[in-house]
Amino acid sequence: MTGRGFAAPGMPGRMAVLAWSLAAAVSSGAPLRAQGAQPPIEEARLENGLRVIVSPDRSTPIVAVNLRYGVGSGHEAEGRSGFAHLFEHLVFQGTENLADGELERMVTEAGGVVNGRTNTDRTEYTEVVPAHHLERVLWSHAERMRRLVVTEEGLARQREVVKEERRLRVDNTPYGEARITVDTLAQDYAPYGHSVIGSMEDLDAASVAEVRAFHDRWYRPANATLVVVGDTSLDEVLPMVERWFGEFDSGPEPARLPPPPVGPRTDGERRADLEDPLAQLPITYVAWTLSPAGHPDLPALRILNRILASGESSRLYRGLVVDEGVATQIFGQVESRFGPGLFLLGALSGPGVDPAATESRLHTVVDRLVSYGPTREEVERAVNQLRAERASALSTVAGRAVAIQEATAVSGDPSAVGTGMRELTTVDVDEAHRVARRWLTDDNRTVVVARPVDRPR
Amino acid sequence: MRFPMFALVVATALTGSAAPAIAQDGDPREPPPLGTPRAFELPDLTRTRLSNGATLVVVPNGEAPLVSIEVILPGGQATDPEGLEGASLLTATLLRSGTTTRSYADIVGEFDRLGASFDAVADADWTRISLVVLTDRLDPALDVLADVLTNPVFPAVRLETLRRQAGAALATQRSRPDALARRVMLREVYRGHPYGRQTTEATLAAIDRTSLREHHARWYGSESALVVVAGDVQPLRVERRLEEAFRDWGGEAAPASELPDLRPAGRRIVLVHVPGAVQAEVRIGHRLPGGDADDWLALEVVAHHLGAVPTGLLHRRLREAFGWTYSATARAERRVGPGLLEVAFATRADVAGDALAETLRLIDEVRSRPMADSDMEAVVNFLTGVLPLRSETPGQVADRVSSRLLLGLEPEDVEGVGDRLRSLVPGEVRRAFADAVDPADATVVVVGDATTLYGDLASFGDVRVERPDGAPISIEDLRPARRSHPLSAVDLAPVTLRYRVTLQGRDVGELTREVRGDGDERTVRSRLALGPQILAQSVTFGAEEFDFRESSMTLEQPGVAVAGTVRREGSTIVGRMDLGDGPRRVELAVPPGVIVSDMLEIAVWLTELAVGTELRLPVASISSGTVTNATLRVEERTEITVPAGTFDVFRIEVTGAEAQTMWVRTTAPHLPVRVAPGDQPIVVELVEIGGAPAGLP
Repeated sequence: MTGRGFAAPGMPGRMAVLAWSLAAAVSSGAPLRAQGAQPPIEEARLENGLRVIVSPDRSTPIVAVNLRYGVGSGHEAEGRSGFAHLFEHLVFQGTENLADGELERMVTEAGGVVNGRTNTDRTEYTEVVPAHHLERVLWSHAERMRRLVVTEEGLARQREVVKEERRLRVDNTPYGEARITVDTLAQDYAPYGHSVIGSMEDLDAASVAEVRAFHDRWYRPANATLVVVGDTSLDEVLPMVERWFGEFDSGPEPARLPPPPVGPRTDGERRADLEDPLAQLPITYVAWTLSPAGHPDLPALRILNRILASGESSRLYRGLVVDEGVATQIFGQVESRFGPGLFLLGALSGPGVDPAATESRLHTVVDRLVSYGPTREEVERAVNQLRAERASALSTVAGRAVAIQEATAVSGDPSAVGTGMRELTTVDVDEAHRVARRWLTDDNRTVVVARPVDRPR
Repeated sequence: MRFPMFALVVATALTGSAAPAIAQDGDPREPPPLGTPRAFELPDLTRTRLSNGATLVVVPNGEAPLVSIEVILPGGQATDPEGLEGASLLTATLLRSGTTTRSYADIVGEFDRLGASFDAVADADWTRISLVVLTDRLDPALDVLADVLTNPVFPAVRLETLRRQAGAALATQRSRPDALARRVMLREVYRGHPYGRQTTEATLAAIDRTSLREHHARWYGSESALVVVAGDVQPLRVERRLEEAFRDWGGEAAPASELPDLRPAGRRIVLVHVPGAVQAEVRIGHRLPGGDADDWLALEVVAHHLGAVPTGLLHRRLREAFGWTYSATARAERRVGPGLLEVAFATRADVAGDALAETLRLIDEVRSRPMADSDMEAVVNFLTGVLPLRSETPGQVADRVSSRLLLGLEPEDVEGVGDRLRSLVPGEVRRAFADAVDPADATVVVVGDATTLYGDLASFGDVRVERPDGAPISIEDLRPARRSHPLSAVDLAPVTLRYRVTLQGRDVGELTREVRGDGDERTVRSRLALGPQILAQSVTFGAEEFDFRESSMTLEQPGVAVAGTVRREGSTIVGRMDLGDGPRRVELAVPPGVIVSDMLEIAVWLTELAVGTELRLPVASISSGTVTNATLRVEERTEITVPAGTFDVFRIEVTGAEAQTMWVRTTAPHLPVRVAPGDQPIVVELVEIGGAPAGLP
């Protein structure tokens, strides 16, 4: 479950890699290579609705296979929380023709890696393997899609594994609960009202029949998009996909989540003060609720987030860490999804620093940006950072596959992976200032503070 | 506003370029055959020496418009002088804080403006300075890199900031079970070795600008540096550019560092107590041979067989067979000196012992039985198959090249590694692992709630229990015990005691304690006035069994309001309290016979005492939510004088909970005549017995 996870303050600065990965290349003047050229895109669709997108890259004999299903925790009915994420585990438990554990063994013995990720909107599985293993991996996806075997014993075991995962990521991780609280407190969009990992009660109550029905409803060709990046081509991939997926029924029409609310919240600041028994230092999260992915203000919001929180020359780092010494770490992230997204800032207070002082200073820095806007140099810096980050994210076949999935999910068009950068470079100082005034308001703000448990004698 | 994802899926379903279905010719019961493996070679590298003596390796690779530059210097954490642990790391992190011509703001502003990621760290063996930058921004970024490398000035203000941040990082490390477990494991595996020395708040405090300048002068000379450039570059051009950028970088060769061997030290078990932790974080560590040992490839094969996710034995058993853990891994860490085998998993406390036993059994299995040919083949397939996957980005290629060169080995071509892997036979591999690893010599570190974990761990050997800050604690003090003596307060008569409170001989306050009650309950009310601060407490207990019933406290102090009320309900203490940071609920499970801290003194009144008497009882701390044992031992009989007069007294040392020294009357009831709390520099002395109860809440 990585879709919503950035609980730990130990790793600031790297977290926005996927959040903005829909943004892509090409601005005026510079040579294509220097800008990170548009990855080539070839695509087709099977009669049963399975969408197939291939981006060839012959430089290294490997391929990334990414199959994304349009089902996430947001699609779960009441009493079924955690179901979507549960399949991240169940698909590895065996299918009609793959024994328990065989899938992972097959991929990793080839030197490959296999991974599953779930968020509110989707579930996706990625493998990276030597190119000559491609067809075998595609076959394994067909197994997972329509020939999954869910047994009583397997379900019981994976429930325990998921509970361990929750303990590891939330209950036994400093700030884990606080980060989940930010997500659920900041918006009222019903599908996002529970955490991706779900409630243990719902998982405990899940019967094998219910789990099978959930799989049967969502793991269907018409609800799936396959992206293959690397040492191959559509001509090579398509016959393989036909061979293994062609016979499947398309399944019911993919269900839409209800339309999310648009525009900043106007109902006032929300806040939660938590005690975190694992924390040694207080943490302050300040978040603003955003409109869904694809909103035209998002490029400017990404730039503003960078200006505030990325790097040692960012405003918050200079203001809170260097000048005032009220924080030791700063981090920022723009999370964009089908439903309401988040413009998140965070600060870890130093030892002996009252988090109220950290928070107050953070608000002052943000207010100043909202009042006076950014400088031209700041905008240029943020765009350069986003360009470099994008080049880095697209430098692996797996990263490119994820970026193509994101671009497809947001705009419907996989080649949008190569156009997002243009949107960024059209943001000027005035546009950034306008967007800051619109979104970064007190009424649209959510504050979550988690402090260590006091232990006086 | 758009609702892109689903709207478009439907739209394109109607218009998309559907390919015609072709006949089903695959039998899904069998995985399809593999295609033909495609040749892969690492890109050619060029190796030269810059005119300042540094070794330069250039590896052009990848399609991304990125360049990765890594400068590696021989001063790692193992070279930090004793008492100055952290000097290498602070030197590296302070590089960007200012040079003779650029301020800190100039440097970070320049890197940020170019979108360049600059990093400088010190690991056990090396200092690594890295820069990743867009190709079209390489030139200006390189100038800044050369400047910070050669002309750092280590400004005092920035040193203070980074020292504070490093201190906060240590605190964070102690709060993360995984980081804490690894830290303790490294300390134990490398005890007595330079690799085992660790940065602490004290060593950070001892580092000054002189230590940093000395470290820089000693270890940052160009003569011993390795510079690896990978990515979107042309070797000749980059060499010319580096010659120019590094023209002012010189310096002597670094001193040769001597790393001693490590001797077997027997099994060590350390349990780090985190009260209430829901999981046990487990690390098993074992020293391995030095990085230039011939057996390393074999050790990597076994480590992979044991701990790869998801095919390794640990994952298959601990996660898939038993569901005990989310992830269990093992890895072999290669260093210049003795390497490290590290096994890591987190599990529920109730199965931690079983999981540990199973892990040690698996380690023993791989050292006593050769791997099956099929397992061996699987590992070798993985290690050869993974080569292209791990050579994708400029940074990966740079690491691949530099990690070999730094161990004094030649970079290997892909064919060479594959051939050597395929030539290994299971018997040889087993022997190499058995020579290097012995479960009886492993270090086991568990971070979790010691009160639930101790019993299981003790069956594996002697267990050292410590707090997250490393201070040792006794398990006896953590395990809620039954009372060692029956206690009854039926004969407790009403009394009022007045004490003075002194700090270094000066009067600073007053304490009044009053016992009242009849029937089956007794109540003790206390009022402590310390300057403007007034603490009022009341505790009620059953007379017959001396059992806790309820208590309340308020603290009045300008600007602070602290209050709480709790009561006993069966085997739980419940209530509410506010320590000045907002109200919260109290719910604490307690063992039979538990008391709260205000009853400790009364317990002494009620016990028959003689020199050598030891009284033991569980004490609940409401504020920290823990139950800890207090042990009271009568150490001697003596005579002391206090304002109320001269008394024949027993001196009692209290350890575990509520550590303090008490001097109590030798005649019953054993009223305290003097008390010296263990955690505050004050002394409380008896002024008057009897008196009026006026002024009590």
